[in-house]
Amino acid sequence: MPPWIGAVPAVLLVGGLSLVSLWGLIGRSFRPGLLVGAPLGLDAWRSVMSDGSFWAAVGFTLRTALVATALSVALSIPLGRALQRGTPALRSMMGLQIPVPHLVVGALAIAWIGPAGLVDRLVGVEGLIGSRFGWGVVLVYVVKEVPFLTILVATALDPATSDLEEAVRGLGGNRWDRWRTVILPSIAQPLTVGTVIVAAFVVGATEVPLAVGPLSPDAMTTYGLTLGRLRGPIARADEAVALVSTTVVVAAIASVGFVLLGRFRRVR
Amino acid sequence: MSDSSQQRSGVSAGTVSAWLIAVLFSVPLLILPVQAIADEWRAPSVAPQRWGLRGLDAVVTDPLVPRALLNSFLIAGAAVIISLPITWWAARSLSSPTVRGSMRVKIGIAILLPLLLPPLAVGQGLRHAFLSAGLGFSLAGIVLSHLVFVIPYMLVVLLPSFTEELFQREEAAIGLGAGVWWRWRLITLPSVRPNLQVAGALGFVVSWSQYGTTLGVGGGIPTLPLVLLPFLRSDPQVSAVLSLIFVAPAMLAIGLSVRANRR
Repeated sequence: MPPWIGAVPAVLLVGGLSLVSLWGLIGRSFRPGLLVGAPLGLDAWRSVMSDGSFWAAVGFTLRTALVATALSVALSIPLGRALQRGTPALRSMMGLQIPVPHLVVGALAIAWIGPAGLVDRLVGVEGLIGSRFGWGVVLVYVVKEVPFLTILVATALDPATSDLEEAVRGLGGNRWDRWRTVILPSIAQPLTVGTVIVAAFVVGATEVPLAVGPLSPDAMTTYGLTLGRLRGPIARADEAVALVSTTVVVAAIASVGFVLLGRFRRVR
Repeated sequence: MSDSSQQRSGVSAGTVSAWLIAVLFSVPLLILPVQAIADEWRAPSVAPQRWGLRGLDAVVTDPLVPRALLNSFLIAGAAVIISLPITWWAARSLSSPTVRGSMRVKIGIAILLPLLLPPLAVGQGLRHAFLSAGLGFSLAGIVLSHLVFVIPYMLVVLLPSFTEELFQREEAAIGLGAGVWWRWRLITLPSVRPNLQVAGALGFVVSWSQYGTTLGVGGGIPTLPLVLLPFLRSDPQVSAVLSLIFVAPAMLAIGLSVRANRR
């Protein structure tokens, strides 16, 4: 028996359920109406692709994903460098936020920076929660994902990295040389994986835009829910189109991640 | 300033800033217990005007909340119980020194990639198949759909526990005539236990927190996240009480993780 046989149940269960769900979603998107045996057609795709609010939802989702991911990555690199020298207690403190559910972070965001939140009461600043730009969504993901990315960066920067940095310093290298030749090659792979995960999570999120996002525009995932609320079960095919499109965006992000990972492996 | 003193001041500045950020990320949680017992907290006052347990009363007397709590417990518990043996075998197989690196990567990707799927897409996609299979709008269907996310997370935590050293010690035990049961009890389980506890707690939290998947497959079966969401902007006190209940397993997971790290 091959030694990997023990992993087969996990692959069958996780992979099988994922494929069944994608197949069901794609099938649903080509079968408008409520009848099970209704003829296949592109009506739902035509309807969604010509709907301005769908494209507004695409814009909102891509914008929030890009800003939240970029901010999380930008903050996590210096923090990861600092955490590398920190104590285990500091790591635990940093990791405190990781298992906290997104909805709870949403509740905290509303309590602190929502209208009549504590920050509003103290300094009179409000408007992030429910902003059309999606700052509420961005903030929740930055708070949730910075600790995750920071720990990834800190773990990648092992003691050998410090020795290599010392060596580059000893050879006359400046800060930029140390970053280019030691730090970046060390963190590139884990940070790429983390970036893909964060971007995919923001794109695929449902509860966060519902909790702290604006009423309009929708996110890609909540666009279908809004249609379902407005038009009832007849909108199921349109909902499926929106969710297939969301999955395509996630697949594109994952593909870019794979290409980058391959490139970093060659560089390293 | 010399290089070493520059490095020393860099270290302290870095550590101080990391501590500051860590506190900034964790202190906001402290507003929840305050909000939960603030019966009246009108703007612009920064302190509650009246303390009380209206939020807790509302949660206890709402018939939906105990049902949602029970459902969430049953679903997350079942998802962890089903996932544990599956993840154990997968982690053990993938860590085996006899598995080729390329095969390990392929299997790892097949299990971990679905983590990126939008949960609502998984839920809505499975709904139709589950309805045909008689699992639609049921707790069993929800449990099954959560496995797509629970198994990969648990695998990530369990993988590092099956080390080369563990396999060598098991080999040594075989050489000394230990049977399967004694090998498992005396060598494998003690080595894997810390990660196993963290994996179980993390799996529980992942299932406990699922919103999109449950919404898609459950068709209105109440769970804690589904009940919490409508309160977020309508009743801060009830939302704080529910958030505290909702965050409790996560805190337990953190506690277990810290304990596992200490060992």
